[in-house]
Amino acid sequence: MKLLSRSEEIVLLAIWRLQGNAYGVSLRDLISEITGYDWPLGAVYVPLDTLTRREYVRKTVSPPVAERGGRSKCLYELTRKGKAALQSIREVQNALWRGVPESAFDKS
Amino acid sequence: MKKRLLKITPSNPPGAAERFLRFFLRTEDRDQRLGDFSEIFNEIAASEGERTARRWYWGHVLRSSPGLIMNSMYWGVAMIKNYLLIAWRQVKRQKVYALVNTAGLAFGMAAFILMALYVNHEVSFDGFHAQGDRIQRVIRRWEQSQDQAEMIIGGTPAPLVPTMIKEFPEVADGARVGEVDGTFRVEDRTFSAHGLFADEGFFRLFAFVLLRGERATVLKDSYSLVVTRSLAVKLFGKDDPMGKTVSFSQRMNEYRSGSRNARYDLIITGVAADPPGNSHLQFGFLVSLATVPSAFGPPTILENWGRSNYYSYVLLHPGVQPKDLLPRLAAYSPRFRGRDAAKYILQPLKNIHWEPVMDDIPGNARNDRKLMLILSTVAFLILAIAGINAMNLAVARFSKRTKEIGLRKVVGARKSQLVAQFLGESLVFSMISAGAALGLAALALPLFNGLVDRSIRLGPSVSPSVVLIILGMVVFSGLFSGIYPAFFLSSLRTAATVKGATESRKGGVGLRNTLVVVQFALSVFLLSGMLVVAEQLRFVRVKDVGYNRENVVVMPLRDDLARKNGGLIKAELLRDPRIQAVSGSEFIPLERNDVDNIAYRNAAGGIDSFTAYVANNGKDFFDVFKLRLVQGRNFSPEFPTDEKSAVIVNEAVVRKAGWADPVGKVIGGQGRNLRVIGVVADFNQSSLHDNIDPMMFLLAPDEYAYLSVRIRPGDPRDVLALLKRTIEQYSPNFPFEFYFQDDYFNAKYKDDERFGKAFGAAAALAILIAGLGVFGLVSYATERRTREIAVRKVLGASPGRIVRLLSREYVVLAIPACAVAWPAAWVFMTKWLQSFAFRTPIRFWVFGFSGLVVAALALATAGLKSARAARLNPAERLRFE
Repeated sequence: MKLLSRSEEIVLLAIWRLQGNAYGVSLRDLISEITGYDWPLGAVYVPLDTLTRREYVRKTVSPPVAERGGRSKCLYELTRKGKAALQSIREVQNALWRGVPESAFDKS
Repeated sequence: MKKRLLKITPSNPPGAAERFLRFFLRTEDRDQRLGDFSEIFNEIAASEGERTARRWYWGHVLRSSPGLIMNSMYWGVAMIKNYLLIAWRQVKRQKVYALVNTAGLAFGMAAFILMALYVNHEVSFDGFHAQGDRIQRVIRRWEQSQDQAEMIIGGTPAPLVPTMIKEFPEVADGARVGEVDGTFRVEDRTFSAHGLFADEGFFRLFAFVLLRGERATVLKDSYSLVVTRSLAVKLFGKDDPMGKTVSFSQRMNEYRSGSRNARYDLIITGVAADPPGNSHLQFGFLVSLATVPSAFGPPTILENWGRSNYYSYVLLHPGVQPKDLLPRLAAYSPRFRGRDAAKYILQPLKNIHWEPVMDDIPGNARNDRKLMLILSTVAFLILAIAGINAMNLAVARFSKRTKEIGLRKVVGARKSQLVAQFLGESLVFSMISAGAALGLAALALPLFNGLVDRSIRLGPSVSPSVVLIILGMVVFSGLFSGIYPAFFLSSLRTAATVKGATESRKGGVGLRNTLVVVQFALSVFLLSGMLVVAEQLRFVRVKDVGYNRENVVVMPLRDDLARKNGGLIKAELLRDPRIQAVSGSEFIPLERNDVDNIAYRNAAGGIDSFTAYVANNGKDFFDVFKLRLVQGRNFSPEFPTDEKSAVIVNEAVVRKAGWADPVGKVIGGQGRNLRVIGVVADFNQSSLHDNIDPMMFLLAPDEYAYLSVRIRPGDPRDVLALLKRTIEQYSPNFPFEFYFQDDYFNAKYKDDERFGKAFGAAAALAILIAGLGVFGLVSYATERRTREIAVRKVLGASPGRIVRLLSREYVVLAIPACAVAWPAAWVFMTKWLQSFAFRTPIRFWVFGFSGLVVAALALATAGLKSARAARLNPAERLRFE
C-alpha cells in the first residue's frame, strides 16, 4: 500500500477526530488550530480529493444550510481502507522514531 | 473550536471571486465547496464586518488557487491521456493520412516560419539602440520645380552636427559618420575592408558593443582605429590588437575626389563587436573623424560647408518631438549654407531602413514596407490554405470515427468534451507539424538567406516575438483545422452515429472546391512565372550583346603608380604568348560610365545635341572585346592627331544624328571639335535591362582606371598568376583585383535569378500543397461514397470507370484555375519583362505546360486515391447493410 503524504495524513486524522462532523470548514479550522498556521481551504481540498480517489474517505451530502448561502455541505468519514492506511503510517512512524531520544534534536 | 453564530446575513461574497473559484472547482462538489467558502465569509461578516470578510474571501481564493488549479488539471490530464492514446491509435491505423496531414501542414508552416523570421528581422532594423527613439538623422530635401519629384539626399556637410548642438537647445548630442574604404597592411599581408569615419559621438549615440577600450575616448584622437572582432582576428589572429599600429591605404572615392590614394598609420584603440545584421550602419572598422584633417589637411576641412559627404545623427532631449525643431531647422537651412535649394529635415533612426534616400550611406540594405505587408499576407494565406487542407483531411478522418463518437455520446460524453477531444487531436497534429516545420525551415534557411540576401539565423537567440508568432501559428492552425470537424461531428445525432451512418452534407463542397481552384490557380500562376523568368534568363545568356565577353580578364588599377605605367605593364604582358590583347580604358561594358553631350549640325544647318556615353581608351580596346568596326578605321599611331581630334562613334549615334555617311563628320564633345573616323557596331554597354545608347570613343593617353586582357582559351590559372605578378610590381599597396567579364555579366542578373528562384520555390510549395489539398478532398469523397462505389461495382462498373468518375471532377477544376491564372500571369510577367530593354516574347507553351502540370497533378493524386477505393471488395463494404 502506498504511504500517505504528510498533508493527507493530517487531513485523514482530522476527519477521524471530528467524528461525523468533518467537512471543509471544520477541517480547515481544526487543522489550522493544531498546526498554528492559517490553511487556505484549497489546501484542504487537494488532499481530500486524492483521498476520495483512493477510497480512503467516503463523502455524504447534507441538506442545504441557510448560512452557507443555501448550499449543502459535504461530510467526510473514514473508510476501512482509510483506517488501514492510518494504521500503517503510524507503524512506519513508530518504527522510525523508536530509540530516538527526546533530546536528540535539542539545540545545544 | 470556535462556536459559530447561526445567523442569516444578507451580504454576499464578492461575485468575481466566486466566479473565479467556480471555474476551478469540479461540477461534482462545486456547490458544497462554494458553501464552505460562504460559511466562513458569513461568519466573518457577522463578527468583523463585511469589508474584512470580502478581503478574507479574496485572499483565500487567491491562496487556494494554485492547489485548485493543480487539482483540476489532474482530471484534465486523465482525459487528455485518453485522447492522446486515441489520437496515437489513429495515427498508427492511418499512416498515410497522418503523414499527408503532417507533411502538408509542415510545409506550409515552414514557409510561414521563414517569412515570419524575415519580416521580424526587417522590422527589427536599428531597434537595438537604447536611445533609438531619440536619434534622428539629418538629411536634405531638395524641392525642385513643381513638375519634378522632390529629392531626398542623405549626405550633409561636416560642420552641421556641431553647429546644431550649439544652436538648438533641443539637440542633446550628435555624431558624424563618413564612409572609408581601404586596405590594411600587416607585415606583408594586405586586407581590404569597408569602414566608417566616426567622431566621439558615435559610441555615445549608438549601442554598438565595444569589447576593448573606453567608449568615451576610443575615437577621440586622430589616427585612432577601432576594429571589429572579425577584422582583428583577420589582422592579428590570436594576438592582442590593442595599441598596435597598422598601415592603412585609403581608397579615395573615384567619383567624388578623383583618383588618388592616401596612406597613413593608425593606432588601434579599441575592439568593437561586429555590428548586428539588422543595423543600417555596417562597418569592419572605425577611424576617428579627427584623422581627416590630419591626414588630408587643411585643418579646417571639417568646417567646410561646401561638401556634403558626411551623415549626421542627432540625439534629441527626452520629450522633444522632431516637429518641435523642424520649422526652425528649415529656416536655418540658408544659414547652414546649403549650396542648393535643399532644406534640412529629420529622419527617425528606425525609418532609415525603409525610406529611399539618394546618396545613402553604403551598406544600408534598404527594404520596402509594402513588401513586408505583402509577405505577411502571403504567409497567412499559405498557412490558411495548409490549414484548410488539414481540415479537409480531418473531416475525412473523423468521418470514419462516427461510431467512436456515438459510443462516447452514449456513455455520456457531453458535446463540449467531444469538441475538446477533436480540437485537442488537431492541436497535437499541429504541434507535430510545427516540429517538422522547424526542421524544414532550418534546412531551407541557407537557401532562403541567399534569396533575400540576409544572414538570418534560427536558434535559441531568436527573438521572443518570433517564438510567440510560432506558438500562435501552432494554436491557429490547430484550431483552424480542427474546429469545423469538431463542431460538425459532435453535433451529429447520436442514434445515427451509432448505426454508422454519416449524414452527408452538401454544403461544404462548394467552398472546398473553390479552395482547390485557388490552389490550382496559384500553382499555375507561379509555374508560368517561373518558366517566363527561366526563358528570359536563357535569352540573356545566348543573346549576342555585340562584344565577346569570354576569356576577358578585367583588372581595376587602384595605385597611381600602376595607372601611370599602363604602357609598361601592357608591353610586359604582351610578351607572353597566352595573352592576345591588352588595353587600358576608363570604360568597361556593364560599369558605371561617364556621359557627355554630342553637338552636331542637323540637316537644316542648325546645331542639335544629345547625350552619349564617353569612353576614353587605348586603340586595342576594340580587339580585347572584339567590337566590330563597320565603317572607317580604328585609332592609329600613324595619325598623331587622333589623340586630340578623332572620335569613333557607335551606330546609335549615326541613327540619332541621321547621318548617311558618318565618316568625316565633325561633332562637338568634351569641349572640342572631333572628327568621326570610324563607326563601331552597336553593343550593349550595360545589362540587357537597358537600351543601347549613343556612345563615343576617344583615344586617351595610357592612364586608365582599368586594364583589360584577352587571354587564350584554356585553363586561366597560370595566366592569372602572371597577371598578379606583373601588376603587383606596380601596385604594392593594393591587393590584386580582377574579374572575368563573363562572370561580371552573369552577376548583373543576380537579382533576376533570385527572382526566378523565389518563383520556383513558391511554385514547388504551391504544387505540393495543392496536391495534398486534392488528396484530402478525394479521400473525403471516396469515404463518403464508399457504398455508392460498392453498389456501382456490384452492378458491373469496372475499376477504371470508377476512377474516372471520382477523379474527373477534380481534373475539371484545373479549367477555372487556368482561366484565372493565365491572364494574371501574363499581365504580371509582361510587367516584369518590361524591366528588360531586350526580352523574349512570352511563349504560349509556358501557359499550356503549367496548365498541363496542374491537371496531371490532379489526375495523379485523385486517380491514385480513387483507384484504391475502386479496388476494394464491395462485399466488405456492403456487409453491414
